[in-house]
Amino acid sequence: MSGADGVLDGWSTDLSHPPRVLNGPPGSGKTGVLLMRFRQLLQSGEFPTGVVVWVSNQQAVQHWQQVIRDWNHRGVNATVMTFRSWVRQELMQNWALVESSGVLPGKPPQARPFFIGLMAAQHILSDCCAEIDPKHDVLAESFTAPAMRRVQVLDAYARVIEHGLPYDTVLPRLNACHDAGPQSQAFHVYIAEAIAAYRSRCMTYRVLDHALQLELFTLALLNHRGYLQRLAAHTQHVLVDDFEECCPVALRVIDHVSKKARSVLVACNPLGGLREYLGGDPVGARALSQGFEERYLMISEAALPAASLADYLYARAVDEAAASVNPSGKRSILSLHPSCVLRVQMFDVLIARVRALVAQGVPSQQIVVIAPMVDPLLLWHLREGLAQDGLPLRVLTGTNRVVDHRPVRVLTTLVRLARPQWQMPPPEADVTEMLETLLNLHPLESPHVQRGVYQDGQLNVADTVNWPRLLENRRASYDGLYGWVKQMCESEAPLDVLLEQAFAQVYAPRCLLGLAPDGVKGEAGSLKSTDVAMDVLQIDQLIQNARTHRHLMAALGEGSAGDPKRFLRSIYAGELAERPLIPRGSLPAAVTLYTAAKYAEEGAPVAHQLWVDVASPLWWKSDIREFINPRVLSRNWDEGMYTEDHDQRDQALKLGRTLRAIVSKCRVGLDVFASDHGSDGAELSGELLGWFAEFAHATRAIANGTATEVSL
Amino acid sequence: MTGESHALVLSATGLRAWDRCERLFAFTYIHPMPWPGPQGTDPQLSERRTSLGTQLHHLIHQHALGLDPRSLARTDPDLRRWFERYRASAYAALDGPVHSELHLSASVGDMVVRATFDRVIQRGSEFVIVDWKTSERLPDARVLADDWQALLYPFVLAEVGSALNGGVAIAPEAIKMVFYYVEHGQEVVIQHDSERHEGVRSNLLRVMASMARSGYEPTGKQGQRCLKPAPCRFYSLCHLADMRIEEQVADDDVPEVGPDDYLALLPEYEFDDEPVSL
Repeated sequence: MSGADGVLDGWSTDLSHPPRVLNGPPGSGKTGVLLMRFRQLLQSGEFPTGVVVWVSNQQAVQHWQQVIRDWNHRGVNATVMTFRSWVRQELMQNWALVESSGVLPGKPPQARPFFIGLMAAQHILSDCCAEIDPKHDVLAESFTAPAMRRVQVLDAYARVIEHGLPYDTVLPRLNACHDAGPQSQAFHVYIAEAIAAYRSRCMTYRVLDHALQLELFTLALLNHRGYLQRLAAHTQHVLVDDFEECCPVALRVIDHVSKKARSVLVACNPLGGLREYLGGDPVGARALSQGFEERYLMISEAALPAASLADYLYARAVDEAAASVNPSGKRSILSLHPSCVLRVQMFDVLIARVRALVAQGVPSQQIVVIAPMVDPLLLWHLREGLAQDGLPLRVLTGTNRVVDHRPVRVLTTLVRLARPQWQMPPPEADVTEMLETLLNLHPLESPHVQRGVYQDGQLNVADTVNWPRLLENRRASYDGLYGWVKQMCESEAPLDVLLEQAFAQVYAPRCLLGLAPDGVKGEAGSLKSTDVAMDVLQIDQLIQNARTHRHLMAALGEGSAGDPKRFLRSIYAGELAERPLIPRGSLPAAVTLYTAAKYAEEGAPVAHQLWVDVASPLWWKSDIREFINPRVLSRNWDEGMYTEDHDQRDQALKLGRTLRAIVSKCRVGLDVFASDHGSDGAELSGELLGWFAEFAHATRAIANGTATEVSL
Repeated sequence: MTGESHALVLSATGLRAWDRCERLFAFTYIHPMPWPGPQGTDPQLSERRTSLGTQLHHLIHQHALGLDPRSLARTDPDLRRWFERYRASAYAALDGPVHSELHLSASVGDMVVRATFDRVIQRGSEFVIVDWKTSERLPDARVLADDWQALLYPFVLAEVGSALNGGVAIAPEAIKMVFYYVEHGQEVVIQHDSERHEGVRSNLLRVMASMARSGYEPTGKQGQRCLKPAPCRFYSLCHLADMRIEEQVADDDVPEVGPDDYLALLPEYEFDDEPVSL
């Protein structure tokens, strides 16, 4: 029995204006109600193309599509997408209108725009900033690395556009919220200049990131009467899951469509979701959703397995006196593991727990490890510990460098050898590793071979090398490798194609033997092939990025081949270097390691959550950044200076909402791990562990010797 | 709500993949396998044609929406030529019911088949499905008539297109499929009818039955379906074993080695004479 049962009872197909709003906390069944509504519409004969469904992220899109597929309904082909994807679709379909609107700079019109993501945006911005940086010597004193500066600039731009503000409001708002010291002012002028240069360049070449898409949609389409009429005429029903309360553009669209649409059903969270907080505009969010208030449909909260703990942690974080424990009686378990003295001991306990869960038959995809921050020590221990049981680890944080993957290094080494004209000879260590990998050499053997065959940035013919007798059997293999490099020296293939060839013709035949031909069947149970699949996914992602880079360069008028050297440099040190190339889609078997913020935002509900470093103070994070302040760039900021008190309040709010969002996604068991000391030996003093202990105490926990278990 | 068994959703491309090779189909639709591999014999040329084809479809869709994208078509000479051919065709007129970029799916047994129609035009009781083609070569009309797209699209429209016809099912005889080749300004017309319609259903059921029995072994032969008309993306995966054999060295070829051979591999270390104080 779900709290959502019966919500739709008595509903007809038509629901008059204003929109109906579904309320309920995460996990209470709002999505289920929307899916039921969708099915109800189709069964009553509505044409699917007249029903627009907006969901919050790509995972939700996949979930909806899967459920619809399972219905196996005749003719069903719903338009399920995120609001951003919908905006993109509208821009594409109506691009002629955008070009003729006069909003874009007066260059020759293009058949369609080029859409880009954050990394490509950083890439363009770094070009624009190259001209601006010398004017601002004060930037040299900045604590923020150049790559992070660019992220902050883009963030500032995106934030004002999302809030429906003109882009040139950034500078006055930043100046108003800080003390007006010369360094601070110079930073702000830099941001304003960088945004103006970036925006101008992107608009000129029709290269659009998320913020530019939203801005163009608002300027060119939402102000066009013909477009609005067509939009209203073609939209019969609208279903919105996890409405972005802080996005006035989305609200404007809903408001307009709902005047003619036959029904609009919007799912919100009355207490404000994480999205509202990240938008930094709770005042605006509340104001925007006020028009809906008369049509609330409440869903019972009883359906949530860990509602009690989620509410308790939220209340403790925001320091509400009303923090009380009201066990829901649901069968989810909180296990408090005794705090270890040293952090490495905590890792051992954690790994043992993962093993135990897997041994009990819990699928590895249903286990997530959540940390306040992922550092190399945690990553290494977890990866190595799980690898002993053949369990791969998937990391969804910002710390998984693409060049940390050996196959990526091997492939880039190969292409650098195949393009001597780039004058980017690979380092000797990379050549050693490549030879070790591709010739199947022992680590003791590979430096010797490398010294023999690699000179002046080029490989030598085997005949010219004093080939060791021990390695005579690798000589033919080396000849094949040398032949491939020489052959490719004469090819004019672009970098992405060269990488594809290096993978398909060299790496795969030498390193992935055993994956095929039985890769089709039973790989879900084969951990070895899962591990290989992760490598292949990573390589595929690298190639896709190289291709996108080439297309981007062509779109910016920098030649069809782009600048492959710049792409290669950027994966070692630049826009791509510090960002993971996370493959999309699910893997057959892997434990996932998330940062808390990442899981709260994007993680799917799972059976078991394992929280680590719970005694760490890193769960509290300041949002004050050196260059921008996200709060004051929001639509309704009217509090003048942003003080430390504001920051502390926001940290607490963010933590509370993050904790609640994470716990709400726990279906069966939540394990808590902590250590008395951090990796540097310092004593840990974070309060979160204490809150868990208080909760366990209040629910009269029974200690079983190894962990304290509490039924939630 | 989510069941354990999921209905397989297939398009004409998926059905073509099945015909080409069961393993290609499995790697693409049953257990999707990301596998980087060169696409086509000339990747850059095929990339350009695909990109232009996509742009043309966008321009035609915008025209169907009531916009005038002629100025946008000027960006590339091929695109401009194609768009003018489209404008001159008998299927560019927007008077009467015209549906553009329409997605429809129909159930056949446990399978869902999906069609994305470039354009569906209603002329009285007749429905014309138009598909814009940018290929350089004109195909043999008889071969084209047996292509999955020519079979599937009219089938799907007859099965689930009633919403386009005031809630009344569309008779197969009322549907014709037009492939319009913008490079040549020529069309190939294929008439649907009840016999053909039931033939498609039988074919789909037959395919479904063979999928249920399939072990997804490769059904393409090297040098034929694996490499033609363009190399299969999974060629290197399927033929890993063959490729390895070419370079493998037989055990007999491994020379006998002694301890000196190992010592010869050790790097030469240099030691400081003075001990280092810690």
